[in-house]
Amino acid sequence: MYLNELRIDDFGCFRNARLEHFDHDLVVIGGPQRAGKTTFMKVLRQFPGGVDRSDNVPPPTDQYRIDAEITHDRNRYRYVLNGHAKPTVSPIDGGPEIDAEDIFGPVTERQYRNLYTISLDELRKLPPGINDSEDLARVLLGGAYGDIAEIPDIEESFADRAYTIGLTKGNPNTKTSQLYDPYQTVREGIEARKKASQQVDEYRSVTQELDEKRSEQADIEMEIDRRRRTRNRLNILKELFDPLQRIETLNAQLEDVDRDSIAEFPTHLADRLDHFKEQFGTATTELTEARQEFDRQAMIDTADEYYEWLLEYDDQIEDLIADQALWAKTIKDLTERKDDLETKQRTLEREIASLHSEWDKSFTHIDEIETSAVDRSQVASVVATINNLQDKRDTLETSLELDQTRKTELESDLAEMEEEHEETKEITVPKRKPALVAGLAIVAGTGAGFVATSLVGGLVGLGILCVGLYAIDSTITVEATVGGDPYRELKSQVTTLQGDIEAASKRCAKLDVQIDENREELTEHVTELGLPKELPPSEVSDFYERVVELDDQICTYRDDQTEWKQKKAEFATDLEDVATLLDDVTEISWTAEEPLTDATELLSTLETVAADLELAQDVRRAESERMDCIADINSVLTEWAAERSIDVTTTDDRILQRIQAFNDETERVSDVENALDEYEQLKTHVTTRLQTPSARDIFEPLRDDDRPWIDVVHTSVTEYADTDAIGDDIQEHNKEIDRLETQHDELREVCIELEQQQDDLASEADLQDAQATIDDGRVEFERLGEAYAVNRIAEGMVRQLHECLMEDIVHSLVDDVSTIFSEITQDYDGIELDGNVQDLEFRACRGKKPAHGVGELSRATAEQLFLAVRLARIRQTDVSLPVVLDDAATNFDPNHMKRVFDVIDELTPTNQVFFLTCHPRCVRTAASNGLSAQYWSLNSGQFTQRETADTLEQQLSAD
Amino acid sequence: MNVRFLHTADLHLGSQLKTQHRQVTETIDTLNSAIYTAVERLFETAIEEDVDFVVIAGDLYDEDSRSVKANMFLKNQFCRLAEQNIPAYVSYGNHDPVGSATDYVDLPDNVHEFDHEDPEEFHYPDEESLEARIWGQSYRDRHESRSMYRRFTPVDDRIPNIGVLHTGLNPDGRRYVPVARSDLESKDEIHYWALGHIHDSRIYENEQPVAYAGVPQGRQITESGLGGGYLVEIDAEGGYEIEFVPTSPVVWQTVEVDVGDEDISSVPDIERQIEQTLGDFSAPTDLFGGTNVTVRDSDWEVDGYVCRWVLTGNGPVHEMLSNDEETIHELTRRLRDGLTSRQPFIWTEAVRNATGPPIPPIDELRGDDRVIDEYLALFGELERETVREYFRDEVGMVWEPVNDHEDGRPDELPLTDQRLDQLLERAQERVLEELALRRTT
Repeated sequence: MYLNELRIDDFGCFRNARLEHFDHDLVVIGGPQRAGKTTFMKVLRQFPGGVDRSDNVPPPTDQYRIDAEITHDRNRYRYVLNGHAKPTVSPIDGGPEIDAEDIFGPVTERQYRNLYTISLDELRKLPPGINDSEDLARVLLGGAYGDIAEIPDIEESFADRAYTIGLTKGNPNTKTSQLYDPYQTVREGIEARKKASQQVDEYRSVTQELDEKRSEQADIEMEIDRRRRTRNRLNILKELFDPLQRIETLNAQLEDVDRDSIAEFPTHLADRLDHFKEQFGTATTELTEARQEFDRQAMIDTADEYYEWLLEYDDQIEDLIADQALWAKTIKDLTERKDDLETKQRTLEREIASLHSEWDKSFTHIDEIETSAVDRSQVASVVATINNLQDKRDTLETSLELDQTRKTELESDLAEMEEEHEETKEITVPKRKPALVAGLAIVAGTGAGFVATSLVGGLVGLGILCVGLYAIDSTITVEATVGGDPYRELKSQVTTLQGDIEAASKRCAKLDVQIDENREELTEHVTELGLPKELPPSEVSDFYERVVELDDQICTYRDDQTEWKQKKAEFATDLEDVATLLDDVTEISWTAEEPLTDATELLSTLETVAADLELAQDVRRAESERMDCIADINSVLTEWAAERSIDVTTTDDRILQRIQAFNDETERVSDVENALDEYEQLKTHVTTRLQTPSARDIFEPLRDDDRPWIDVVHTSVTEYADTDAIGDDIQEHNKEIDRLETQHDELREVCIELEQQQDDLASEADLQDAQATIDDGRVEFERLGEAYAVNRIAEGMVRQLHECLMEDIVHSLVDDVSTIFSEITQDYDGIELDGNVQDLEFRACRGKKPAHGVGELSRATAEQLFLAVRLARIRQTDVSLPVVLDDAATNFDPNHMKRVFDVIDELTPTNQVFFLTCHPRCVRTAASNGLSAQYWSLNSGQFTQRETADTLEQQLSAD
Repeated sequence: MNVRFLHTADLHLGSQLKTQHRQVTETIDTLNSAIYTAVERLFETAIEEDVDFVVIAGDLYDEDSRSVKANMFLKNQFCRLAEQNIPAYVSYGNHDPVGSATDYVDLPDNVHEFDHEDPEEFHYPDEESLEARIWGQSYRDRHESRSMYRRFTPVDDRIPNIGVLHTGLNPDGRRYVPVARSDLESKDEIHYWALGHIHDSRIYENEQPVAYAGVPQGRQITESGLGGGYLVEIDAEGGYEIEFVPTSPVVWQTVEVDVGDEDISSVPDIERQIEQTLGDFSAPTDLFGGTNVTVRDSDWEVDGYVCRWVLTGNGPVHEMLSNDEETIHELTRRLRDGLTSRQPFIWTEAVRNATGPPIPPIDELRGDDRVIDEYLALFGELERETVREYFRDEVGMVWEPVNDHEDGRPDELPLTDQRLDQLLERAQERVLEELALRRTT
């Protein structure tokens, strides 16, 4: 940017101040102190971004206004800055649209301020607004450094990420590091894996222990087995101890026994003999008792004969006694039937006598009537007919009487009506008539019932009632017809009644004839039958009925009587045998003529005899049994020894002695046999017991060759005094077995536990878990480790990049500064940078002499150094911008100042330079250097162009 | 005279897959038993193929994860071989050195263990009817500075001679049998070098085959791809046929997923993006390009994949992933929940955020930004080794510089040159992103 003209208004001391027609690259503006030079420099400092409210610039009266014509990229523009607004740039002659930022390019406002507007006061100190060396470095190093300046941020971001993960060193042991947790997880997994791996050692140890325990277990099993076998052998010995001892005893006992005699003795008959003996005793007792009973109870004292007689006729007696009960019943039946027949006879006789007053009790009356001549129904029919006819006639007669009575009454009424007034006669119907008729009917019926039968009476009564009611009804009918003309009606009734009376009379006559005919027929029957003639007809039927019944009863009575007699005769025949038999031994009062008399006594005697017979038979049976017993006993005794036989003649004592002798022998033989049996049984028992596989197994070790098992056992058993001694030994073994079994069980439990441990140890679960733990941690550990490494490497890379870039930029800058500094000072070769550029620790180099730090330089030399730094930086900047030097060379001697103008001269082809000064010598030096410059004086905010440097110098000298 | 044998190594029985899978039940059995399954498959192969013998080149067990189950398992497997009269020649490595192997089980008689004091020669099938010699030496301690191989001295080369070594093939190291591959290749009388220690399968065929069988089953993300062993047939004239038998039921994969798209801004978006990659999932079978080794197309299917998802790309999702650590955890949980039930299952071992902020492509910035140009020039010109040395100490105490992958402990992060290079690349990317980001704000 080149300023072609500039107008400043309302900015500090400037009021419409103008600088025009800039046609030189160097513009020297001279003015006394407080003329406005520094304010002019501040005006240019506002060009990049306008006047900021916070900037330390003089306040405007109205508003700032800076108006300039500038040339940028060969185009002219109008630059306007109003107040605090952003500056505007507008093309004057058709150039492209730009703004202020385009003019200043990469040079920031701050850089422009600190690099391009250089005042003496600010030359050696931090320019205003620069807070740290980084800022200063940024200012000094310019736009390239701007790119690089961000690199430390990137470096720092990588460093921060790395630090977050692994702090400074990426040490996983540091607890605050993110690596720590996964690292610890991995380590835990390693420890777990180590432990799990030790399971192999444990497995071997457990296996070894298990083998030992199993071996121990096997030893114990063998010892238990051995002891069990011993115990079992002892158990068998204990079990067989007594049998073996007994065998020994029996063996000694049977040594001298004649076994043949024992074998021949009929031991098997001993029980039978005992039985016979018992039977013999019983039979003897029963015989005695039976005889005593017979003697005590026999009917006849002459017992022996009677006893003999009884046994002789025992069959006969038993036959008779068999019928005894029947006969007793027959006696009772015949006696009762006899009484019944007598009672029946008396009843019939009484009925016959009561049937007819002229008859006695004889059955003859009945016998004389030929009941078979006329049938009972025939007689009854005739009688009934007669009674019926008679009833009808009686009824008719009653009705006739009533009609006549009525007729008389009607005729009487008729006569009264004729006497009085025929038309007013009212006929009343008597209400008593039905009752009268009913009463008459009852009386007539009852009478007929008494006379004839109740049936006849009933019929008569009914007939009268019917006729009476009919008559009443007829009367009423007559009265109804008389309603219209009572007199004629009444008269008509009389006429009607008269007709009725006549008809009834005829009827009565007819009935009388019929009654008579029937009575004649009845009379014929009575005669034919032989019934009493004086019987009234109405009774004939009942009488004859009764006669027939009696006749039947008499006939029955006579049959019963005949049968009774026949039975009595039979009974007499039966009892006659009894009487004949008993007559041998007792006196009999019974006779066949009156068989029922004393029959009971006869039977009682028979019964007694029969009882005696039973007693006699008991005696005889007892005798027989006793003899049988003797025979039985004898059969046994003779089988043992013939000389020991008995018979019925043998006394009881003798018999019993013989039996006892047999029994004694039997007992002896039996004892021997038992001993033999026991001996054999015991041997069998022992042998059998030893034949079991378990027993053989147990005793096998004790057996030599083919020695009998029983001998083996016997030898073993002789070691013990008794079973208690064996029992003690068994108990001892059992105790030991129990102890060993307990030990074995414990070992088995231990083995199970060890096997379980083996199984557990054989599993890789722990190993897998451990590996899983390692993996868990490892994945994160790797991820974080990798991230840490990448960030740290990236940090290093960025740092290296940064250093490389810095080296390029700083190196270039230092070269340019050295050139300018050397050109200005002539005493120094150049400068070097001690440390980072940010530290601004420049050192001035003088050949082989020690370099001087800034603090070691004179004030002027130091100002020259920093001026050189700025000018070098401006030179390196591609953008063309006005440079303002505000008394920057005041402290320089003329030579150095002259060389400064030489440097400025080198700068002017690229940058418009405003040199502000209050020193005339500076103007003179500028002029003496032959620089092409334009000169302006500044006083109280007003610019005045001077034709020459001398003019300006003079004015300044004057000021 | 030729022999046929199975060459395996680095079984690491007892160690576990580093998958963080304990909280899931569906795949736990497969993951827990993966190493056993793989080893069992190897032995099954030996039996089915009726090999002459089996060679195991160290690290049968894992000393840090000793396990009764592992001991019993291996014994059973050897017993299976014994039933088929197949001998096994076993050397012990740095993870099961003889000096600390006192707790291992007694192995059956068909197992011939190389001595740890001196090289030992075994004769197959026996000295009378010699068909092959097997030379080897076990580790005495965890670190073995003896080179061993020099004393592998077969009397002649008329029958196949096999050298068994557990080495990192690093002649400068002092820990894992320092020997150069060329040293082994110079042993003309050895017809086949059966090596262990390096966990990925690789083979050198310059002279006689120098072969690492690798692990039968990878256990961590650094052991990706199919594991297995070699079926080797060699003769005394130098002829050989080698077939790689894959055995691993579980395959580790590191999968980079670009989530830099503008449309991806949430966890479900990332999840979908990851799911889109699943269609291409398969275990790489081109393991031995440029060699004579063939890969068997085995009947065993891969049961599942254990994946580490590395999220890349410069997009809006970067800010979310970077500012909230829980986002990664949440994504991990969702992937584990969502993908485990697939067939084959996909188990998410971890999700790593390698995304960057949305910045212009570096090429656009190049030449237009002094700082970026300076940066690119600065690190582009430096030697890789110089950069490593410059920053090796910057990575923090959590990292432990190691020369061998085996040297790292679980509580340390092993800093190999390769790992350092990865960290440097990542850091360079991050710096570049930050510098570019500076330009955009």
